[in-house]
Amino acid sequence: MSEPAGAVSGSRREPIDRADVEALIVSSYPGLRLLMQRRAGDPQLAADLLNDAVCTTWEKWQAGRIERPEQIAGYVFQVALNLLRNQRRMAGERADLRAPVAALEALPGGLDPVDSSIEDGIARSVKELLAGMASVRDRCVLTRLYLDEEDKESICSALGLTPQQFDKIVHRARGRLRKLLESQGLRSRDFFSMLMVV
Amino acid sequence: MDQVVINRYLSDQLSDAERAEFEDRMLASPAVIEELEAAARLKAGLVRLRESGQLERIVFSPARWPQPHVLALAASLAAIAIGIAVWRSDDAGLSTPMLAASVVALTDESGRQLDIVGRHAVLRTRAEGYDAVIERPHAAGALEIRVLPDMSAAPAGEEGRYRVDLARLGEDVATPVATVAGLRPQADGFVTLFASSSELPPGRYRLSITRESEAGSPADTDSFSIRVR
Repeated sequence: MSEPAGAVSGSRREPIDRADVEALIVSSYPGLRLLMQRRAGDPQLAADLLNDAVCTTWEKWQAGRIERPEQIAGYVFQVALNLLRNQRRMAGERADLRAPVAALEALPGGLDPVDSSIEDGIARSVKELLAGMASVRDRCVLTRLYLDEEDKESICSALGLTPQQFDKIVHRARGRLRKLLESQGLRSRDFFSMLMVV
Repeated sequence: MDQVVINRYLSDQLSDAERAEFEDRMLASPAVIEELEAAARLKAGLVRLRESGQLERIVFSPARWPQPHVLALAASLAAIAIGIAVWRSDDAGLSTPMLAASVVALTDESGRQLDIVGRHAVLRTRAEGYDAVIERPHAAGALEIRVLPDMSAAPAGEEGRYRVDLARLGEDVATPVATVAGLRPQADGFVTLFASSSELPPGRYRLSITRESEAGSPADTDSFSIRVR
């Protein structure tokens, strides 16, 4: 006898609806969702890819190929980022669609009002983070790493930092950002707790 | 979790093997997806600030210090740090850098960032003589130098990094005096670097700009003749 959908051998699985997964990804992972929109250069394309990823992941969950609900988000983003990578490679092979990465990311966001408001809120947190950092050099580390996507070696060389100093700056900034975001109620951990009570 | 790896994953800079390893960790540990989300939010916020024109002002504004005693403590610590840095520099036979990719790397003896006191463009000219003449200002400070590579393999705006080597020209010999790597071109094709005016003595120089290439690929280099006076 085959197992019911969403069941796994030896234990009963939580019934999880696909729409719930999608809704929770949207509400709990705005950063990754916004990043996909930027990378795709088209919010609708990003939404389609994310939707495909949710479907694929949900099917895996139904088939019992995902062990725990807290792994669902990881699967969704793994699949979504792979789909995006494939999409960009295909675009890269077409001369009429070819554009450098930076140009794609410089496209106007075209975000809907809700996403635009979410991004504004995140920007305010990041602004607070930067303003609270001790030096121009430390702020430059963040912008070069996260915005310009330079490698660690190059940043250390340009700013006269040791790798240890670099790690310390990034670690401190990351901790501060996390506190700022959590103080605003933006916590990805909510995803798991919400899934568990669905 | 290493933030650099997380950032490289989000930037699609990992090799296939690195990505597979990272994704295994991501699926095994929900904490990693939270780290990813935090990094993604940081990126989104920075992009938004840049788009709104606020980023540069925030990054280059003076730090906010909450209390005078914190400032005093920080000043003490900075003095110690600068002392250690100077000691280490002297130990290595180096002084304040002559060239840097960022102006924030150029500081005076008290550790204060140098003000930009001059801006110069270095590009191929048809005139005989020098491609650029740099006048050293009376006040010590940072000189912004914008170099336009004219190598055909590196059109303006293309992704890539450059290295600049500066050599002082004597009667018969060119003496290397400074190198700065990891420079990124701007949208207009210029590559910007900064020089400390007090570390750049008058004389004739050769500025070479090389496109940093993949291992094994031939490197493209352009050289410019510069006069500093």
